[in-house]
Amino acid sequence: MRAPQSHLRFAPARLPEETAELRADLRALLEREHRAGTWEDRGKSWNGHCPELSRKLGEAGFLGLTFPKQYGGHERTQLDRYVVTEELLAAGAPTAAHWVADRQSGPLILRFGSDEQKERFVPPIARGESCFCIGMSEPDSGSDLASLACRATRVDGGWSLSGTKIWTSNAHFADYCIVCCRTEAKDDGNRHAGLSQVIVDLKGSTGITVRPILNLGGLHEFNEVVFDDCFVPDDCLLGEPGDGWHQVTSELAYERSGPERFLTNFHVLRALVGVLSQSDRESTRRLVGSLLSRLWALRQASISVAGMLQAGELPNVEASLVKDVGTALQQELPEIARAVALDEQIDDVAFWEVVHHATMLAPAYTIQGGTTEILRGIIARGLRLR
Amino acid sequence: MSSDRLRTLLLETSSRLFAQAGEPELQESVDAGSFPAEVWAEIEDNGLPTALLPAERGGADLPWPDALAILRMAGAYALPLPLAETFVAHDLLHGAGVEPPEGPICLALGAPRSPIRHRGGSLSGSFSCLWPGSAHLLLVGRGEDGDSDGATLLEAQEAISRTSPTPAQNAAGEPVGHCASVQTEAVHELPPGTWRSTLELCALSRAMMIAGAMERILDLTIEHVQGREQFGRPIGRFQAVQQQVAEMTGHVALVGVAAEAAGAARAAATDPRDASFECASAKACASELAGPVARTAHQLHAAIGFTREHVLQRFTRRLWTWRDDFGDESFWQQQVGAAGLAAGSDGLWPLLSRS
Repeated sequence: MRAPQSHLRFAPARLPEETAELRADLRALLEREHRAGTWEDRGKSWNGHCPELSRKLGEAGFLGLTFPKQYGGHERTQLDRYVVTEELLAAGAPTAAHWVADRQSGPLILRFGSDEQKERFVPPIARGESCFCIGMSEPDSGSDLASLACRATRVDGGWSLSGTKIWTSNAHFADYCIVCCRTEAKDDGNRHAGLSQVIVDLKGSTGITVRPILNLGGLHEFNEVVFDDCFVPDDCLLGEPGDGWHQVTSELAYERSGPERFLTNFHVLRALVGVLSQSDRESTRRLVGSLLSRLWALRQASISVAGMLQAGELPNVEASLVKDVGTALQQELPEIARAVALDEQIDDVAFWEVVHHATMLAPAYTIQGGTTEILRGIIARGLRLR
Repeated sequence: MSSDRLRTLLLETSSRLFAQAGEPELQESVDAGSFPAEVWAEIEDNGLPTALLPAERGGADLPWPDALAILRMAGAYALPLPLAETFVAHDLLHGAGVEPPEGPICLALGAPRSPIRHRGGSLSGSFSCLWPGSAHLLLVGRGEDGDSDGATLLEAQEAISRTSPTPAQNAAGEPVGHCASVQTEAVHELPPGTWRSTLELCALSRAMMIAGAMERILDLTIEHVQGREQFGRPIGRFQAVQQQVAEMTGHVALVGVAAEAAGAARAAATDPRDASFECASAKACASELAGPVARTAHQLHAAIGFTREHVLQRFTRRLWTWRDDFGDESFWQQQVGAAGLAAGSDGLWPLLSRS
């Protein structure tokens, strides 16, 4: 029998000692701000919008952690950044005002942007003052992103952008949207050619309509964004024209492997443990233990991906695995919390409100940022099945 | 020799030796109940079972993380030998200042929920152990109420006559002895907590072996769906198949990462209790996911994988066995759950993020 082939590389990574201080500092800040009433609801997490908290996080040096100092960053490691993001999530802090910019728009601009773009866009991100959203999905292009139709045509001094983006989270308060659009005619031989990314100033441009779409829980998080002959100056084209697909896919490891793929509704587990405090029921301990043990393992996997990102790798398959397993667990969490609380005959109204709210948000986890089906396709390709 | 180089060399040697134990004839004789003594002799000649011992005791001063890596490899070959048990026994005996005997050693701890007891210098209780009569038996008992723990080592044949085990077979086909009641003197007094720490080390070792077996199962499954053609193409080209392989890969990855991380936590802990949560979580995950991984692998292998002739069963039968060994998922999940509940709402995250 031959030696077993290794199909995955989750290099073991442990968080360095120096992250402990960063973690303690951030915990203290969050505790202080929570007590001061800067934010209250732990259940909104990275969908909660609190510009004041984001600004304070920027001021205290917790944003743009991996960015160069030249652009307001702190030149710290991906593992440091990992610690900051997981602490924000575990505390249920509202972070929508900086989340996307700090996670992927900043790194994207640093990777593909011009010096002028880096100077203009990155420092405000590190200060927690600049909010970005992602313009990818369209009404007729969901998982099949390469089929998108939003189009930028050449005009004097820039581009004219027309088309519709949808499911655009936070577009109603974001400052900028990085829109993936077609700058060349569709080539059926090469579906990924002719796409480009442009940075659209949502507040300073004309020809943009942002329409709210309420999610099933009644919350306004995502939108339909219609561009109608919206002028985008030349200096807002990101990277090379026609290189959009490559740029978009390079964001994915950052977008998919982070702790938001398994800690988004951690507050539900906190609430459950809070109402139980102790239990002599075996099934309760077993179900809570099943969740906790898998969360712990996922966290180790996510840390491993952060370590690989730090080493300069782009572990797209491993990141997809973390998102697939993590979002499935996140979806299971409110169901398990409910099952346990039913057995325990919990009648705490506030607790059930948390569970009902979390149940309504759960379907999104395995859809947003790449559906489970698409992720599994990526994994299958990584395993050379297709 | 650098430690990295030593590790690579040991893994290469292990891989070569374990491959021999994977020969079908040998597996058949194990299924028929006979201990593969020649293979054991060969791994002993290569210094593997004693590797954890210090050099002056004939060992290689191997650190536990490297021993765990060897056990992962053992899992990837479905090694039908009590190597993990012998590692743990050597570690325990050496710590107690006792020279371990030559040959394989199996462990009797009692069931996790009803340990062998150590009281007044004697051990009592019920237990199951592997390879009765073929391996020495190390009985380990837990002291009552902070009392010290205790152990006694019985030579293979002596163990049979002293414990009269009822013979049985586990799902992997290996002989198991069930002893309803043992009453024996505890020769070695051990610090309180030794029984627990031994159970955790055994559970961690099994998690590693499960991780290795799962990696092999994934490897076999990928090879199968790439090679098997139906409707004019490899079945791996069908999305229904790809989705299942991908889901299974996630489970295999999670168990591998968990076992690896728990091993690192245990190695970094000055007191084994500092890694209890991690070891418990790793075995809980490994045991919980063993079922789903075996199920998907069989579904994708279809009829051929359901035969004794096909190699897959050697690995899936071990998943079904190992998930129960040294604490099943129900036991370890309850340990983890109890730790979480004890930590409380505000202590939950610090517990989860401590390493």
